[in-house]
Amino acid sequence: MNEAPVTVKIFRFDPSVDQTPDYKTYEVPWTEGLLLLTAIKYIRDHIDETLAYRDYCCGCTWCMSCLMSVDGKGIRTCSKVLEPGDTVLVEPMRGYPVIKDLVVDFGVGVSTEEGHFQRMEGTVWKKSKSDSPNSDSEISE
Amino acid sequence: MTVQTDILIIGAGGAGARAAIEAAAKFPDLEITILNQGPVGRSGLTAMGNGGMQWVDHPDDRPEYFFEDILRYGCFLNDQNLIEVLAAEGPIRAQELIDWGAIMKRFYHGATAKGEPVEIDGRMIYPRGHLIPGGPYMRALKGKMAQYPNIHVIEDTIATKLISDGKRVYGAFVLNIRTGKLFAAGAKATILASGGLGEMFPHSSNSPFGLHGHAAGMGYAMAYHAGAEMIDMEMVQFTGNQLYPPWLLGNPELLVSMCGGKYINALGEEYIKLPQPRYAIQRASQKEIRAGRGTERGGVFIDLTKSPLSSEEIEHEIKESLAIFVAKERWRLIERLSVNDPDPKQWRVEFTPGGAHFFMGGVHINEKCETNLKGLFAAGEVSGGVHGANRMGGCAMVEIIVFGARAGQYAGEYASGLTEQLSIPNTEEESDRIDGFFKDKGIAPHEIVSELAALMAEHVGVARTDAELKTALQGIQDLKANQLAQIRAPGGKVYNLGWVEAIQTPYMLDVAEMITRSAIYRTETRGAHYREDYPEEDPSWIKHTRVTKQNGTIALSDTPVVITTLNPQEVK
Repeated sequence: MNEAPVTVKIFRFDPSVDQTPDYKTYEVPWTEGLLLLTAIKYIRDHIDETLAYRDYCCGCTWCMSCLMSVDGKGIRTCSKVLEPGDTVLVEPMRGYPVIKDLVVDFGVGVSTEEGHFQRMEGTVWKKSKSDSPNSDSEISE
Repeated sequence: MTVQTDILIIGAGGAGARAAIEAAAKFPDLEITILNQGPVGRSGLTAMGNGGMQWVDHPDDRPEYFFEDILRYGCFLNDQNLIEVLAAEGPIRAQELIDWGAIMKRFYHGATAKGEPVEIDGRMIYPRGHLIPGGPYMRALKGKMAQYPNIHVIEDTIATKLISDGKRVYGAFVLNIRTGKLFAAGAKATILASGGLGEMFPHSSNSPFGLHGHAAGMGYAMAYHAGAEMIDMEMVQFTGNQLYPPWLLGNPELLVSMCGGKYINALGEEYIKLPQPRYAIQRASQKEIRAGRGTERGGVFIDLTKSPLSSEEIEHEIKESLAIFVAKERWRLIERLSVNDPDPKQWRVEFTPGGAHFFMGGVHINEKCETNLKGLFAAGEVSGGVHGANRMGGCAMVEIIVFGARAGQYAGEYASGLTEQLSIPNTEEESDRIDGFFKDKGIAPHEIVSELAALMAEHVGVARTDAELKTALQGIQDLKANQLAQIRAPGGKVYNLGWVEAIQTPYMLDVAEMITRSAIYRTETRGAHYREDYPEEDPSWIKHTRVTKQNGTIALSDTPVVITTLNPQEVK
């Protein structure tokens, strides 16, 4: 198990405290079958307890609660397999307002088209509109 | 802050969403507020359901036959009024779901592989298998919910406590995870649809890869503290949990029942042959491992090399059972991570028994989803009595829409008939309680939960004895005495996962104690509850264990099962 660790650079932003976003870099020990989502959980459990991400997991790539922008591309982090020595940049899924760190309000992009699901306060920071989630062929609802 | 609504629904999985739709459609004058811990359809247990569903649709089949199958599978511990409803209304509710846009596939395996009835032990078994995967299932319900202007969905919220005077429930305190603000939601009727408790065990299909599945079991504890009667809390259904290869092939049992795999130990010996109920497979697997015939990782194998099916047939069956038709990415990962050899006929999958899969116990309900508390209704996994001592595969995804719709109907009737003004307490006391978790020094809640889960797996798992259960009980009490006051949440109120876990942890300790005490109380073996020191079924134990809160502590008693048509003492 002396494989090179994985380096994960993560977008950090707590709207109740921060004026602007920041990035922090973490090293995660590599294990066989390490997924980006489980690496992020490792960081939260063992390195930085304040990191926020959607920690739900369906385990079968279909719920899409773990959509994030990884190296600029919108993907499910539960299906991103990490190899020893990998370096990845993780940001919140583009096109949705950021609630905190990697957590976005999916309700904006999805629910408002279908109906009138109640919006919650707490929506605070939005990435540019040109990065529409629909432009990514990986994503289908 | 206080919010007033007519019906408050806790949980927007299958049961909660279906309840909201029924109440909104039948009672357009009522306002319905539904809470969900994450985004609707992208969180919770329904969304991760593989989607196996059983309902009666063969021309020769009858609801009465299905009723009897469920009852036998549940070892006669089911409330018969509930399974009559399940068998009769399943086809109607399922067809609605399909009409609302859910994809459905036929899904036959095991005894009914060809889709024809077969005779087993002198009884006809009819094909009833269907597949509506969790993703499409929830999208259909979510789309339908959006059509009703009187449904208000609030995502990223958890109820922290029911508002109750011990006789009646009138809403809940709710934490908005996004803002960190607590509010009191006053409601004429409250529907608990908060799902199961798999996260209390280290291995669970409810929490894949050890991540959260929103199955901490808070609903059970909140109901108990409000004064609800809880039944059969010892009944945890276990299944295999994959240890290796690292990517999940789904429920390992399907590799045997559908793909012809064999259960083998580390010595290569086949130790059990199908057909067998889930609990028998679990017990046999546990026995192999305890006898030293397990692997280094503490598991046993499912060996596909000995399957009578061809490589192509096995691949087809795996893709069917995993619903690859709605998750193509899943297959790519399986090919990349699960095997060194792309030929599935060369695969050996290592698994451990004792993966918490489903919880049969829960809040005692009647066929109107009413509880012993006025104004509190329950539906889905959080309720007890439907599945008895063992849930039949494919019955949960039907249960949630059948009883969800009923909860919506009867909660609507109750709320419509209520004219008195509710007096909703302010949030001060509850706010102080949950803010109390913020402190400088202490123990991270996930560390306490890990300790608890290890205790549960070791002593309250597949095979139980009085001595082991009492060891677990002592361990839980020690955790309560020594660590409860030290639970510490990290700072910051906005989307603070550590805080959410801190709120859940004391409840998880309560539920663990209920499970353990109920398991000590039931001195027999029945279904999922296997007592090595009482290895036989005892006919005098065809009754529910019952947990209530008496003078602030967990009190055990028992209560009869509801019998409508088949007297268990006369059927064998």
